[in-house]
Amino acid sequence: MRPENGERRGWWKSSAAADGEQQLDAVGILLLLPATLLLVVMFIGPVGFAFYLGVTNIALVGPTAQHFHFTGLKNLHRLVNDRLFWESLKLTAIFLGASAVVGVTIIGMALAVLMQHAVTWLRTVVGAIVVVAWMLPPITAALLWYAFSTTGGTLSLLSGSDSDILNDFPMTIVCLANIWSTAGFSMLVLSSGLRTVPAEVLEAGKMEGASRWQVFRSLTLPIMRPTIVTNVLLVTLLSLANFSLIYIMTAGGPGNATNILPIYSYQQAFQFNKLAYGALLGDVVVIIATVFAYLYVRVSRPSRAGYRPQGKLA
Amino acid sequence: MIQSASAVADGNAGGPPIADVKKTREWFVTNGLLAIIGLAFLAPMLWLALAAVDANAGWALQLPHFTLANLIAVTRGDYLQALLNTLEISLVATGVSTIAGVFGGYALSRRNIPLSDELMVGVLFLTGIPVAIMIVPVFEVFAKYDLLSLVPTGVFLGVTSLPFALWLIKTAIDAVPKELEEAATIERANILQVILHVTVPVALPGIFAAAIYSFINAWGAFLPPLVLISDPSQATGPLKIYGLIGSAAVRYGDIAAFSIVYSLPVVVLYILMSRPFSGGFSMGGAVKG
Repeated sequence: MRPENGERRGWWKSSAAADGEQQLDAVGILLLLPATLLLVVMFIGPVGFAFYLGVTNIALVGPTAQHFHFTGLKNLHRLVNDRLFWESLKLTAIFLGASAVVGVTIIGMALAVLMQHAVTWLRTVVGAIVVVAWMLPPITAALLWYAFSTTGGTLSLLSGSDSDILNDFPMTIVCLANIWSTAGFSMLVLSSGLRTVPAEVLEAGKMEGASRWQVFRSLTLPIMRPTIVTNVLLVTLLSLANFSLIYIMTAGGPGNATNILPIYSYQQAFQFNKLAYGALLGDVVVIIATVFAYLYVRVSRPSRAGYRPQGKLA
Repeated sequence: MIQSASAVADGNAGGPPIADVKKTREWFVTNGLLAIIGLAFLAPMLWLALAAVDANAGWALQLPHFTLANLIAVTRGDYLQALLNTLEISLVATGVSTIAGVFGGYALSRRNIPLSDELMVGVLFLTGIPVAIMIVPVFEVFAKYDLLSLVPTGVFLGVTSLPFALWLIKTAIDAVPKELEEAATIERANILQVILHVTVPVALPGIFAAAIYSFINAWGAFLPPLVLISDPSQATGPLKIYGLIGSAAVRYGDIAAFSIVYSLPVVVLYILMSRPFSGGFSMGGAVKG
């Protein structure tokens, strides 16, 4: 988006060139058409349709699978009185808070800071392990963590007992698994943020006789704040979308101990055949995601040149 | 001497002795802590590596009765079919999001699109919407029009990656000098020729990043194929693994070996990706599902 100067005619002109000629660019719109159609039909449309399905009586099988109709506030009424829904909402908050907001941020920050100071070979090895953990497909991560924490797994060997730790502390294990599989992302984002902290500022702090911890607390952290906020929001969205990890490890159990909203929604829709109620629960997830996505757009709006939404390529 | 704890190791012995002792301690603490975190991240991977070559594998961690039979078994028959299905779905997804992304990104970067800034904010916003919530309505539509199979699922997965791909590609095209396109236009190239022969080659790293992102996203997808693919012979890698875990006679060695074979392409692609573009590439993917 650099300002246009000199050459004014020509189709390559940026849309930002507001020089009064507001005619429609047919070729441009044609080029944008495939992406727009795809997004409307298979992204925005389904999200909108989900809001409609949420207030109908559609089922997966049976008479109302084909001939469903609007049922007004009936499902909403059910939602408000559904003890499991409120429980699930609480579990979602715990899962996001413990793993995304606290866990991933702290581990990601620790990794980013330690890496700056560690010897090269250790940095390379640990960096590779953490990034591979993040790159592994969700099903592989879930499988690893299931084997790691079930009876006879590495974790129970380490603890010296033969207990099924996944069954005994399901939420803790699921949070740890989420931290394990997302920290690599956080590490990369925060590392690139750390590199933008000017060295002179830190040096000035040291000259004043501040300890390392003081320099970190009162100089590095405040400068890093925007990066940390962006990182927390992104990791929250990533974790909210990480349906597979929990579903494969515990399917929401034991009991309903790890039944976070995306899983409860899937259960209602495809296991209890209540597509409508599942869609409504999904709508609640959309609303939660919307809040975080909105905050994220707000935070990253002062668009620096070349800013990328989720990854940093440079 | 900016925050260099390894100054001691570098042979910088200029400072007073007390500072040296302190620095040595800091060096040990820093590297020690990092090593501990690294080991903690490595620990869950142990089982996979051992069970894959164990003739009597189970969920428990144990020394393997070494065999390559598991690894050989999972590159044949059903397993191979599952990998090919995953490849098909991923290629369709990559094609959809990259092609639509290139033309759309070009239009948003260069053409006179009304409200293009607002559109980009909308696109950014869409990258944050989890895929899981679209699954009920998409299933409903796919079931109605008999689309519960590989290719439509691939298209859907491509669309879920499209917002991020659009963003990456638009940003990459923004950085292409307009003079190149002007020159081509003066040579009477039409717009498709300009895009394909001038813009795309210069913006290739960004486009490549978007393509790999879409590929990895589709390759790892679990919920969409679980719901949208009805024919067992069309099962993708994740569905195959999921089925194996739940089957009556669980073959742990096969599960572990197949998980490695199935996960390998993603790791290789990531390495390919991060090498030429100087590291630090990080996949976003709020769309992981």
